[in-house]
Amino acid sequence: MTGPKSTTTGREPARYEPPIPQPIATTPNVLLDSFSYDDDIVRKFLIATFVWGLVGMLVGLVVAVQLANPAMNVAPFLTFGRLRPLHTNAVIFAFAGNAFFTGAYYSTQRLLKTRMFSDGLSRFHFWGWQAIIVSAAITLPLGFTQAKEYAELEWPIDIAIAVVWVAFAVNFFGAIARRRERHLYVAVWSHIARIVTVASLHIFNNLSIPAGPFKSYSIYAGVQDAFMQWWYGHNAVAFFLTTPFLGMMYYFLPKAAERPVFSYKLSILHFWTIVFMYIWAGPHHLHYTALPEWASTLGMLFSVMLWMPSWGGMVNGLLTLRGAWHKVVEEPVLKFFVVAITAYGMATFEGPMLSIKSVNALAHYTDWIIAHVHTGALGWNGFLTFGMIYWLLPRLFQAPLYSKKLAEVHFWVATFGILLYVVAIYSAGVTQGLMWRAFDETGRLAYPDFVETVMKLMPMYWMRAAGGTLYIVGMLLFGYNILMTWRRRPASYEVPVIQAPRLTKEYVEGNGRVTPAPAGVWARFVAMDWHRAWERLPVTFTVLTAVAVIVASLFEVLPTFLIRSNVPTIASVKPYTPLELAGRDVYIAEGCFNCHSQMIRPFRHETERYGEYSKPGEFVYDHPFLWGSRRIGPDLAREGGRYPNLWHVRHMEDPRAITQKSIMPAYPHLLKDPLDFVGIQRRVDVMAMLGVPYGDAVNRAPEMARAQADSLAKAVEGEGGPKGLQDKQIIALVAYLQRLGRDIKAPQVARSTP
Amino acid sequence: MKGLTDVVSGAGLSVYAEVALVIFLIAFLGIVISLFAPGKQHTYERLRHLPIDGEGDNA
Repeated sequence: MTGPKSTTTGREPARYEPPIPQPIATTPNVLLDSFSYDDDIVRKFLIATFVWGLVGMLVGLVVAVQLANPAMNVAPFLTFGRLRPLHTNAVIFAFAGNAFFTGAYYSTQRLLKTRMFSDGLSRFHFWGWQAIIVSAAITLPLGFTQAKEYAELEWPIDIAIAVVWVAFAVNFFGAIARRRERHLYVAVWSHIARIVTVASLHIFNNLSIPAGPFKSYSIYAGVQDAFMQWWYGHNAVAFFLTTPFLGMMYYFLPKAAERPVFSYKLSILHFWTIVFMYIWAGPHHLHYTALPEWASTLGMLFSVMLWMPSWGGMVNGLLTLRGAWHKVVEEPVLKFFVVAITAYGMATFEGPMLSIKSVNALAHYTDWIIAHVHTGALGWNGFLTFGMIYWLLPRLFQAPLYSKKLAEVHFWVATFGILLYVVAIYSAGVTQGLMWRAFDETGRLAYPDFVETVMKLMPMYWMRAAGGTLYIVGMLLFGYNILMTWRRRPASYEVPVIQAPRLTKEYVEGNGRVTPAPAGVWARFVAMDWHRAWERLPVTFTVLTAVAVIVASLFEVLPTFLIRSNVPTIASVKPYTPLELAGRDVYIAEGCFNCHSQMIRPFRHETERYGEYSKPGEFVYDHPFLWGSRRIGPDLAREGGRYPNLWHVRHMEDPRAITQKSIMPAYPHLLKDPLDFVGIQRRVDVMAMLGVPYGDAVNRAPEMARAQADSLAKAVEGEGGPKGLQDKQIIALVAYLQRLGRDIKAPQVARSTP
Repeated sequence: MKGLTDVVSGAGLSVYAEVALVIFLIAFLGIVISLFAPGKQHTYERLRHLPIDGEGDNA
């Protein structure tokens, strides 16, 4: 390293000129390039990580309190159904996403011994990503959603995500192409896998046909849509929240512990195991639903197999601290890392366990899944981020950390917050699961009234809110430490100039010798030369990683799409009427699917409570599917005809007027807001384009919708309800709810084409 | 997609999912075997030091 240059901080006009590489001949065969790293972009992502993390967690606290006290819902924009996706998107894509970019921009430059490919692309990536987050924060409360978990954002934002992601990929692979370190460290592999896989997941899961500026319909329907969504959802966890954070662990843990990773071989094994196995495990999110049995079993087996490599990674992380455990006592950075890795171990034990069908039968739709997710999110992603940022602060702001003691307090407050949160919600999940399936001595449901099972959870919901509050208090301490460290920064940042030899065509080890190739095919195989050859050719490596992921995905997903016997059709199942379709869109916009499932599993306690179990053929016109993943309220798959029309109107207007203890938000605006009859035509046309047999409705959808709305409004009035609802959104929603599950009750003959 | 569904349904391709699974397991086992086979220990030793041997941390 030669003498440092300096770049200005925010106190002076920012101006940075990248140094021109200056080859210096040291030996006849070795040329040294001079260059510097772009830490300004790392600082930007670091600040964004904190800001969006705080926002996402505050929204999380709001939705937690809304469950404990429904009066906290403020319709129409700030109800649980609209805010819950905002919380999940903010913590996943804004907090964890920016945290990953912070770590990736810092570590990639140093591991590759090069500046990023383009400072302009780095800034486009940063500002583009922040703009996407802001657009999510605006559109989700407005009710613009695709109704797919973690993929709620509508099509214009999806396109923007793809563009920004491509910019990041070009910048990243450009840096790889210009690197001065031949070998790609395992952390870089993780980043490559993330870039390639997330792009595939995002594109295929979000394929849809627009029906307006912020409205679209998934090209997939029912079972296929569910399969695609959870292929996405599960692998988004893998390649957005797991592999990239493992890459960060493999880089920042050795840095902080000042020890190399315990086993490099284990890290390679860990990486490839995730690439090969994770991608098959998605169907475990759909056990006992209307999914082919083979897919469900395949997902379970691969999930269970994932346990061992995941724990291999955890052990690799913890054993990296061999001989350095005394530092854990003194260093909050290492404390955060130790708890993060332990949380990773717990979550990756629990995940396979939950994928076992008999365990899943109890846990699915309950808070157990929420507890599992938060062990990973708060413990693994959150604490790894905190540890990384505390380590980075003095290096990026070139000033000592403001207060190590405050960081210690942050650690203990947040750890206690996590414990309070997960203990409460694990208890809530098991309690609710057991109450749903309990029968009394006469063979009847012990708790037939769903709201009774909800009331039992209230103390745990408040305890969860308390745990979340503690975690946020920790975030505020974290932010104060960041702010005060930033204030200590120098007037201008030093920019060290690094020197490293250019790569030569021959592989040069660290000592400068040319490594002779092992003799013989077997010797080359066991010496991993073939694997090392991939690493030297990142394009080939990337393509092979992509092929491993995509081929596995196709072979798992395609049969469900293309083999007819996997989704037997039911003759009596017909498309929704234009009015019902509009009502379904109201249901989607209000986020009802966040609390209500539409999927009755083939268990006696479910069929007793909700009716006949769900069949794959019932959903062939459902673009998108609305099976849900959580039952904060009861399942609605057979809701049609269960209650009078007026009951639904009153219930939506004020749920507690109907069910005193209900925690459902009130939607009085639905009785006032007009329904856009003209816009229904475009929606029907898109559905027809997707293959839904709409017949006459493609020519006169608004007229048909108005006729049904008039008839339904008269029926409501006849039941003693308010007048003048025929052009209001509530009528469309009631029409939809009254249709749910009725087709299968009609006389029909099921047919299955082999 | 209906026409494609008819063609693929009649082609009896479902067995290829199992073939893909077997190929993937073999490829994965290849990585595992070669990873733990003797040799190249000194290379791994250098590679595991890459993060802590780097410069430019401003520490």
